[in-house]
Amino acid sequence: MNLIPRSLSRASRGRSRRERLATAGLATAGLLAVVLTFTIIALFVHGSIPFVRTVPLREFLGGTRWAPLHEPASYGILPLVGATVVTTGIALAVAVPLGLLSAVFLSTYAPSSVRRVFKPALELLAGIPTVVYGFFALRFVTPLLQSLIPVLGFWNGLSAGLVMGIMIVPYMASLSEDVLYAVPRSLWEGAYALGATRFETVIRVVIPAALSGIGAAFILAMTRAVGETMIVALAAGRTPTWPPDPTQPLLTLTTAIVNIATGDHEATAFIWSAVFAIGLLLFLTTLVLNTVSYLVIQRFRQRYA
Amino acid sequence: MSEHEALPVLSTRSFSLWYGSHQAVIEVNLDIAERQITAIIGPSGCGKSTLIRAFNRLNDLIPGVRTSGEILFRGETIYGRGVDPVNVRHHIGMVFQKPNPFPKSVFENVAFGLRINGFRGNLAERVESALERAALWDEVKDDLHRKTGYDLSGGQQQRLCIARALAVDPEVLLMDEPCSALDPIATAKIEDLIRELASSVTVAIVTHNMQQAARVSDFTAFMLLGELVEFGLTRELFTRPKDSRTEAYITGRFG
Amino acid sequence: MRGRRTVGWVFAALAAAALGVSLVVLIVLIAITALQAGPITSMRAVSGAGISLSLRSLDIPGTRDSLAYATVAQVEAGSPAAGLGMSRGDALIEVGGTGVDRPSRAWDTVGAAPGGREVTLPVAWMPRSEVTLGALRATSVQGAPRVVLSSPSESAKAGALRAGDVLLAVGGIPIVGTRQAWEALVVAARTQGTPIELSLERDGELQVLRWDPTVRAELRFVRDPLRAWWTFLTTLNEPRYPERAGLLPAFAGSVYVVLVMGAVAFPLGIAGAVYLEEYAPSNVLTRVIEVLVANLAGMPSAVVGIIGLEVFARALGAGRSILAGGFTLSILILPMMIVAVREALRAVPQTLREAALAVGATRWETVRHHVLPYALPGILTGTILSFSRALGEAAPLLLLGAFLFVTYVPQGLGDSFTVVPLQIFEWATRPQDGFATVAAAAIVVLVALLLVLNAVAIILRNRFQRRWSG
Repeated sequence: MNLIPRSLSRASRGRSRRERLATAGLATAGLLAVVLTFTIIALFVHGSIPFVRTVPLREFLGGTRWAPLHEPASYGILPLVGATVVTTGIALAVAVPLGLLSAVFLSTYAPSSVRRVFKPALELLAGIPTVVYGFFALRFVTPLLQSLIPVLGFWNGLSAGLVMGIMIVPYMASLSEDVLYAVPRSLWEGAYALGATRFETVIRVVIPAALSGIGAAFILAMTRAVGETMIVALAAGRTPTWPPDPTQPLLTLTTAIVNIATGDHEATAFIWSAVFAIGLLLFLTTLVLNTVSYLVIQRFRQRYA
Repeated sequence: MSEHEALPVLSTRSFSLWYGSHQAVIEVNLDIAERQITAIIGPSGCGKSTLIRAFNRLNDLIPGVRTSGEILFRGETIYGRGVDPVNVRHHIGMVFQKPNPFPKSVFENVAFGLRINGFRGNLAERVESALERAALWDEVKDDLHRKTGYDLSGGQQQRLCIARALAVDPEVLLMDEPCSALDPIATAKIEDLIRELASSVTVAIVTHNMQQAARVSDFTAFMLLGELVEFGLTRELFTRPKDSRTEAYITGRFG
Repeated sequence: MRGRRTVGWVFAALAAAALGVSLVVLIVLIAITALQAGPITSMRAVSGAGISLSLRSLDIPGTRDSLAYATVAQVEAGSPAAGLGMSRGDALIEVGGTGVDRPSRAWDTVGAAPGGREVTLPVAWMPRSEVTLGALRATSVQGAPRVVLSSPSESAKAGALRAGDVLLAVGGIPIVGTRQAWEALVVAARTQGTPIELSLERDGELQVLRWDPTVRAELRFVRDPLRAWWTFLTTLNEPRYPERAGLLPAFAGSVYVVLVMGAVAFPLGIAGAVYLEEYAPSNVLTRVIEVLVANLAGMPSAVVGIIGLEVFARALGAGRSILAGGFTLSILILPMMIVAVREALRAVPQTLREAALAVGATRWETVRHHVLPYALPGILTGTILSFSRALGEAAPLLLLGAFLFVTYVPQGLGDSFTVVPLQIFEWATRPQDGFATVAAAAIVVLVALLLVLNAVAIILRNRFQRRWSG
């Protein structure tokens, strides 16, 4: 008995149907990302239409007063952007040096036994929920800072930013460590062969070689900070101020969304269109940043693959 | 009966293959005769593995692969429109460089091809006969279900892969350097096995080991930089090569 | 050469210090939070004795001062406190000899009292106004408020108060209202001790009385950390009193939401990853999909929340239900799942696929029988990591409008819910005493759960990495 079909072109009908079905099903799931992205964009653009029609773009992007519920309402987004820039800046000032140095240590100095323990430890810590960091900022860091800086408000951008930075360290460290570790051994050997010390090799050869990847890690850390919600909602307060002062309460882009969304507004209220407008801005910002960093990392991988 | 009169089971007609812009196989014309052993030799990078993988369309998995010309299996093109590569692989089985058993029991390794083909006969019997043909039955019969493919030695693993390929009764068995990962004793066993198999199945074997080609094959093809330089009876090719490049290679002047 | 070496060592030390500092800060963070949860044992000891406390304060007339005190907001029937005759509306004045100016003072005193698991402490309380004083009437003479004792209670009579007395001052605090008269007694009893000096006008004459209206007794408190934590985990939430706060509704909500999310994201994530890794032709569309997936994985969770609100809660009419919550989280998790599963699939050796294809398996058969089983540990690792990320996510559900406090365990997919991180957020924003403690306790539970999950995932990954590569 021969179980092989006679002709090359005919498979058993059941099997080829199953194969087609599987392909179709899997492709649908694969395409979901495209559908989802376009749904999101459509949703946000559609939701923002009433806002764009009513509020002049110049007022939205150039205004320094955010008071959507006042009479007359004012929709200047600069205070929110300023607050986000302040908290993100503080966070990156903490996370980038600490994260990068940790990564350099782990990838180039640490013996492999240390690396095997600390790399998973960093990943574990990266899994701590942001609401925990928010609690920490509000209940511990702010009181501590208040004893050093008496003018510091109960809610303030400084402690939110600092804690956000601490939160991002494991993330930044883990991403940059991957990149540094991927720099081929041959580059090290080349530098050593010229009589360079380990430090000179790291600074002059390894880090420059990994620079694009580190840049991508930096961008990813930045999108985390820009999109962070719970820490600022808990510790940074809900007051739109211009110019933003890190010692005082701030309203970031994300907390502005939380503020409106958790307020008791009719689903048809005009204020919702402001949520979509801010959301669209946030989404497009992260879309650009993520795409850039993704493409940079892909190129980095290809170069050293 | 003279080996020259054997019918070609597989033949390539001006077959070329590109990986992106790199042409790995250039205009190859080759006939593989039924129930004979054909060896393809050449230095690494000459395109011999690429060519043998083209025979059962495994190169389809690599992105950016293009082909031109034809490969005919019993006169039917295998790269034609409407040809299902899955069916091609039913007829043309393959054994790889490194033994690659499935991480399952010995029995399941051999039974897999039968199961997916909806085999309704006596599964155990077929598995046994495949293992017998691969000269592995006596070594594994006591723990067919307990041992996984990984519990066997390297040579046993490779024979398991051969049994796995034989179980679905292919007409051609492609072997891509099947002994390169094995020690000399295991290699000798596989070589004996290949000779025995030739009574029931057509074998095409890629090897970079000329002695192996000389020992096991009836026909030998010599490839260099993607081209088929010379093809003929093994004893003739190794004793009276027609092409100076073949001579240079078999006398060890390069490669 | 020496200089070059020194610079190198300094740099190495700096880099090591950076890692050390980061880890230490993070560990200190967890430790401090865990310490903040400590008082939960004494809080439960007090509520176990039957008392729930609330912070009140009394403004001192004529000054800008205000003094805090703790009222008994609830007495559990059949509890030791009820047995002593305490009731709702009384004010707790002393525990173990320490004046109670706010609920946390009572908890801390009980917690700090020397002794073992069980401790019996003297307590003093001021029965509610009707019991201590009786009926009061507010009048005014020439615009000045006067508080008249219209019908004295037994206790007031025992303290030599009579009907018709006009209360002028209690412990030096001027009396301006009927409720305030009793509050002044409470505050005076704590700050000045008993007996309290009472100034009153009786029959047109000024009189000063000294009176102790407080009740004293011994109360037994059980300080049992295990029981305290167990009760915290397994009781329904009482939103007003932190000492009766329970994590059960939020915990159940988290589990339900993650189950719904898993039912959506697990199959879709695997299917999407299998498509991209095993099926997708390498063309522009595939590249675009890959970029979009990476993007969606990095999308701010607030944006995900808006989508959830707009699409699931409103357009599809799921409201603030578990279903809407699970779907919203699955949008967040799906791209992470796809990235993680692809990673796992990429680790499957190509030879395995070739082996299956070479015996005539179709692509789907190869994937189903060989690639997926082989990649399973990696897939599970990625799944656990993504799911634990979802378990800690609060922002999207906050925007979706998940309730901040839910006092019941949700019964079905259409029920409203809250989740542990949101419950933490809600407790953390409450100014009252004790909520920080329960927030910290909930954090301990959540972080412990996530650390265990992540550790399992990481161990699983390392194990299998070694096994297959060996």
